[in-house]
Amino acid sequence: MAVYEFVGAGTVSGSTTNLVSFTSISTSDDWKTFQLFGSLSLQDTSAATTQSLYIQLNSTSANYYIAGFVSSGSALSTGVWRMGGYSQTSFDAQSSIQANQHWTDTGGDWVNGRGTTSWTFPMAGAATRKVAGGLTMSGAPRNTSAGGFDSSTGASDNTDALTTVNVKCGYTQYFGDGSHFELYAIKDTNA
Amino acid sequence: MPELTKLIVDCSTGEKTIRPFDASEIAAFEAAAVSIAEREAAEKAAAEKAAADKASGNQKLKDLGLTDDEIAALTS
Repeated sequence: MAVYEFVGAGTVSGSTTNLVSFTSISTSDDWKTFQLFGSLSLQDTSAATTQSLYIQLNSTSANYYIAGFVSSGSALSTGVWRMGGYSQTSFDAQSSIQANQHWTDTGGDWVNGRGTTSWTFPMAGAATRKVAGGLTMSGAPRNTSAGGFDSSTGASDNTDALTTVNVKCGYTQYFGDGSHFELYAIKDTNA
Repeated sequence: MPELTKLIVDCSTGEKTIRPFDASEIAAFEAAAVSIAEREAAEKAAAEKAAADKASGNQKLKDLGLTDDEIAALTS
């Protein structure tokens, strides 16, 4: 029987947090799919108009920046999800444009709205392995006053146990006060 | 830039810790910023070159007497 379980949660306070890291994820439980929920805003410490967000899966073997988005920062601009990462070597479709992503902001400042979305990380492989294998960004509501995400998918060929999930802002950026993340997973007790 | 911090959620205990980036994390962060900027610049340059090549190629075909429809048929 598969059981959906809470893994961890964190809320950002203040205006300095660039990285939220879920660590010490059990490597003995038979997690099959992780799901990370986020309610967040991104703000910038500079006038930079490129905003970015990365989901980083760390396995026992390596860190994998598996996705992120880059926006031009103008209202209703069309940014791109960049699957794979600048330091990623084993991710399919690395650096290719997989889907569009839209945030609405003003002048590179994300104060207009908070985006809500979720990311799923399907695991694969042998029974109790946590393969840092895949990623799906699900869609989220968006309009002219709130950020959002389109959907995108990708896969990695890393085959080691997942230990850490990081949600990371781009350079000079931080999560807005009150941004919240929750990590859940499905455990297959019959595996 | 203000001091960057990291929120760590220990999933085995539920404990939450906020701490500043250490020196190695700052260094990695700055290196990543450079890498991203370089990649974006390279992608922009490649896109601009492709657009310029396309325009140049189309013009050369027109100079040979092909119509827009004929060019579209050849290049689609």
